[in-house]
Amino acid sequence: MSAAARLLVIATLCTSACTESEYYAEDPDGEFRFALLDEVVGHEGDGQRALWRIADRPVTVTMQRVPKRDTMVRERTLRAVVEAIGTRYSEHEVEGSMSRSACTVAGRDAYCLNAFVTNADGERFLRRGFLVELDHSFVLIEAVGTRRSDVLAQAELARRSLELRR
Amino acid sequence: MMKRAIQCAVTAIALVVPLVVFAQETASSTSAADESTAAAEAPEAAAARQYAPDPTADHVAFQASLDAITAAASREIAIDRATRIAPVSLTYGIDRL
Repeated sequence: MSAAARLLVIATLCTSACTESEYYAEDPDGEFRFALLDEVVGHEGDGQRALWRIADRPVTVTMQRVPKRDTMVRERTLRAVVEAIGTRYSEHEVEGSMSRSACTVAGRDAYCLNAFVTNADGERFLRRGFLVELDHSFVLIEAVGTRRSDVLAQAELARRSLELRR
Repeated sequence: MMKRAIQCAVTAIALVVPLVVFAQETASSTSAADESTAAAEAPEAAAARQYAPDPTADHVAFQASLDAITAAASREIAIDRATRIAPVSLTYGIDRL
């Protein structure tokens, strides 16, 4: 085995040892990826929004993209978007509530969100995640589920592992 | 001279008394007319009172429903405006668990 090949093997082993997860959710547009707690058993979506169902855990990870400008709203800001989400909760568009705090994700300005939504059957779903600003859009990534420990673990893993590709 | 003075006084009394009587009759007839007018207007006032809003019942209920409609419209406008700025689903993923 050549020295270069040996170095490549060592680098690969180090990389896999240092990462917290071997499962990733890939942005359909290829702009980012983040780690998942377990393997994906279901996935659907497109560049605008996507979701990943995780094996053996009652938690789903969602991604929703908001363009920075469109024909209706010429210019959005991170703060305006997060406040608009807050308004939709506070005006009771859904039964639930949301709190937010400024944070940093992948070196970018972001807001970390902590919410719950109750469905028609009275089940309480936690939504925890973050809204981060990318080059041409904002991305809302949330772990959604009924079991608090899984939701918190997945949300924290996604926040710490987000990798921007561009 | 004395006789002339008496004649003047009698003439004056003869003129003044009918005037006083006439004035009294006119005054009493005017008063009666006012009373009859007031009596004629009473049913109209009663009718007006009947159809005026009752501040303690219907009016309060109407105002409450008007306030509710206004609040609901304001809420819808606020949600619509916020959704244009943040077009994300608040329930995405919940029905997929």
